[in-house]
Amino acid sequence: MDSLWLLAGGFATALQPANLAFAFAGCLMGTLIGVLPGIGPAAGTAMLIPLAGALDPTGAIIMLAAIYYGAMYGGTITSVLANTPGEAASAVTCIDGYAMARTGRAGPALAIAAIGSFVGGIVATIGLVLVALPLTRLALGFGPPEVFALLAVGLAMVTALASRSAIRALVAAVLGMLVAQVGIDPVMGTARFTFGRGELYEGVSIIAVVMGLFGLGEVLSNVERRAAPMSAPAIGSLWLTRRDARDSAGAVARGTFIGFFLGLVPGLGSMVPTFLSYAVEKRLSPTPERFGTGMIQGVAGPETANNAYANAALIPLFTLGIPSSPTIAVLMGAFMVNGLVPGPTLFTEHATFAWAVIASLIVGNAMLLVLNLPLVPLWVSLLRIPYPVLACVVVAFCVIGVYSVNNSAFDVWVMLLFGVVGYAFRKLDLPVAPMVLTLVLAPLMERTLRQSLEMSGGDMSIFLERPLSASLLAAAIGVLVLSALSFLRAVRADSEV
Amino acid sequence: MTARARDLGLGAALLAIAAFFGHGALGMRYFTSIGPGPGFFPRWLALLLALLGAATLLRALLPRAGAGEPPPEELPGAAGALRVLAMLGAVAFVALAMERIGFAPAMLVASLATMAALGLRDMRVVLPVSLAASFGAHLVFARWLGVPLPAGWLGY
Repeated sequence: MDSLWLLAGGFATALQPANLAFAFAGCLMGTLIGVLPGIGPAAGTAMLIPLAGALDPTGAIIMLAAIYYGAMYGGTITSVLANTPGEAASAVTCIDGYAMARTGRAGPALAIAAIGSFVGGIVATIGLVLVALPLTRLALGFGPPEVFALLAVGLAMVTALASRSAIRALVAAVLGMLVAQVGIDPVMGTARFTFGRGELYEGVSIIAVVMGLFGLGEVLSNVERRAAPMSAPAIGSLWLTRRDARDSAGAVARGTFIGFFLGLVPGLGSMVPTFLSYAVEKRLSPTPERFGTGMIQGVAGPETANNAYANAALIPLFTLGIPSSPTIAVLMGAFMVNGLVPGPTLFTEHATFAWAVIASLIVGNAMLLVLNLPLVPLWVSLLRIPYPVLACVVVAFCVIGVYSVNNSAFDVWVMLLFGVVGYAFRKLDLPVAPMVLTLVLAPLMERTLRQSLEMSGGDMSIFLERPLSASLLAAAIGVLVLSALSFLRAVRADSEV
Repeated sequence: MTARARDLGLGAALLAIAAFFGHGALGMRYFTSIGPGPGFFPRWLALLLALLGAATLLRALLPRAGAGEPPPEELPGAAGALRVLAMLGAVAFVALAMERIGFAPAMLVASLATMAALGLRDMRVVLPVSLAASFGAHLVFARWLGVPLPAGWLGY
């Protein structure tokens, strides 16, 4: 009941006209970011941080959160209409979504994606409301060994599922942790790998790294290939037939379940829930051979899972202070820019803010449903923008976003460096997401590891003596073992369809 | 580029990065009287990266390296490489010039040069987009929203 009263208070703040306007603007900008190829949700959210810097913290985070889940939906539009995912999580939607569009059924594909996203988003937010306080109380009882073990689970998930090759994902994860070594040591305050430059004492700017890896890196890949403007098929009627609704209901329910529970796992990334949902729908279907020819379940399940995941992934951030994806890491950076520390203390020290943002998730998801379908023709027209124009605009936003965080041209150089790194990662078939996640998590991981060893006088068995940390470490090892087994290999095989 | 050549290059690069961080970490205290020191974590990470680099190299040297894997990304051709370099040059120019001549003039030059390098020459498109990405962006972000962007001669 506590949670419901607090949520009611959150609605009182979220429904204020200014905050409604921020959620509305965030949904629009997020959808735009999702639609435009070459700007994923991570870089897009980071680019708009300066815009949020001009607002009060509640309005800023409401807008950035709306940009985040708006981008998740926006990516669907290009997947269905142009066979080009606007962001990675929508890649699987291309398979049956584009097939539906080619047979004149783009409208129902977009409609079920919007409805599924709404259902998944709302259920996940209700889940957030229900588990926020109990999880926060649990997290407040965590000691350094438990936090370290939890982060190890996240790292194991990233390694097992972020790439076809566990070695390549681990390489990216370790590189991210090494980049995080630059700056002041989190326990003793010694400068490490700073080359005597004051700008590096606070560490490498996460926003600059994200903009470089996801924004500039993607631009470089696209200009190399000379990306052409896209054309889109006709949309047709947006109404679902009775049969569409019947076929999709189960897929939406299962997608919600998959997205919500995978959203609770730190470090998983947004592609896994969508591909897993697709694999489940294909396996449960009496006609799996027709997947790929325009089955509405192949759109309904993954799109629902995508938005349920996007909203549920805020649970580890709000309750434990752990980001689940690069975009959530950017959101975490935005919290900090606004003087807020995500984690268990958020609900005690900034309760009004936390519940207002949670309430705004429900308001924003409803806005997305009402807004997006009528605006599809507008989004389609944006696909015709020539890529050089888009590249210029993206670079301008990246520079503004990166510079504004520390008022430092040095950070623009950092972005440039990581743009080259992001481009090289694509050439070397290395996944980018694990690098960003470990860059964000490494300081906490190092601090909790060192604090644990201080508590035990250097004895590693402290992790095994405490039941929760021992269970979590066993889970981490289990995940790594499971990644070698056939079920996850099958998911990966499906993800390569 | 073959998968074998790609992985040989990657393995060597990882070993070099591991050597750099490992060498730096050796100069830091590994353990102190209260617990692990600043060199503890980077030393283990460098070791792990070196192992991963060695594993990547070894895999690349196996007789059937790369068999069954999807083909690796192609290296860019001359024209593609030039476009990538033009983009990098434009961002480097903005980083170098924005605090000297102001964000808007630096971004204007970079936008004009980038679009020319990417093959867009229609001035009815190039000019308004460049002005919007430079002076327009400064007007919105710096003047209206109060985002601190460096201003140059004309207050932009």
